[in-house]
Amino acid sequence: MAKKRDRLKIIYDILKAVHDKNNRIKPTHILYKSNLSHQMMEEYLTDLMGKEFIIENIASGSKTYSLTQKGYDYLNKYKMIAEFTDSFGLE
Amino acid sequence: MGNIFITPQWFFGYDILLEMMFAVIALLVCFYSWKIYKISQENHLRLFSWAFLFIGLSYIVQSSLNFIIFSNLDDVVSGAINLQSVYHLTLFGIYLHSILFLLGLLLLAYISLKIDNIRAFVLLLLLTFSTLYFSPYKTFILYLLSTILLLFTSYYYLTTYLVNRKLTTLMIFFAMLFLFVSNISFILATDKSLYYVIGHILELVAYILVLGSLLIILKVGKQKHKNGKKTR
Repeated sequence: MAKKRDRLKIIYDILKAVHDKNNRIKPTHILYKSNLSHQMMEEYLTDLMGKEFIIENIASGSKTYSLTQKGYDYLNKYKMIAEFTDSFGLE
Repeated sequence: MGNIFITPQWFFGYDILLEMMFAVIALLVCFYSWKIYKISQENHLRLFSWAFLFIGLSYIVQSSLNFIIFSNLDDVVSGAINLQSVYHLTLFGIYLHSILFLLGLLLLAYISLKIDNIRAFVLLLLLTFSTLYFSPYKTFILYLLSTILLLFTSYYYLTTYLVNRKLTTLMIFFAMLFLFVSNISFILATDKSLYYVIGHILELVAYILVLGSLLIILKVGKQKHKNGKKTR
């Protein structure tokens, strides 16, 4: 059985999807890239906006998301975060 | 009622150095955990950081107390300082050290339960400290409670290792196990001074393991994630 993707990895996958789309991504692309249900994705996006990792942009009726500096920091330090939380059993 | 450890005279000074070393290592874990919390904003990392802050502070208290006694040893022996006041100071230090240590362990145990409910933690806290408050054998109960919590935490790290098979988790499991055995040694140290020394040596091994695993984590963490691209 495949190992369940933990929360920190899901956050990484979402942020990476935003980054890879030139820092401007539509929710449908996040849904496709993050492999989550619509409800789960909405929960994660709310959480990520609360943590100020991403910001929501609404232009001409279309919604997109962009990374903030905190979001970039998370992406850059993900390996360290994952190693620390994994080793100390904090997932 | 309280009991005080019997410390062998030749070990005075060494114990202070060792306790300072334990404090530094615990505070290092606290620092990195806080740093990672600031990046990830994950609550359990903040709690983990507090846990090691309490553990670090507990060793600073213990070390400072031993330093005060050590630096006034001549006055104590000559009778210039009242033996009763040394006894009370020592007892106060032991209680403060143990309460801080216990708080740290309670937080670690709470994190390992993986429940995000502050009421569960308050319940743990109330049960622990009410047991302690109403017990006539406070020192014994303090060490008994921390021994139980260390056993619980050791088991948690063993099960975590069996899932992730990481060397660092295995090292942390052994560190907790050594702390658990050292705590038993401290319970016995109220009767025999040798156990006080053994307890410190076991703690030393435990904190070397914690430091080793932290260094490995930092080294591996600096390597770039395999899917990661340089951002900004």
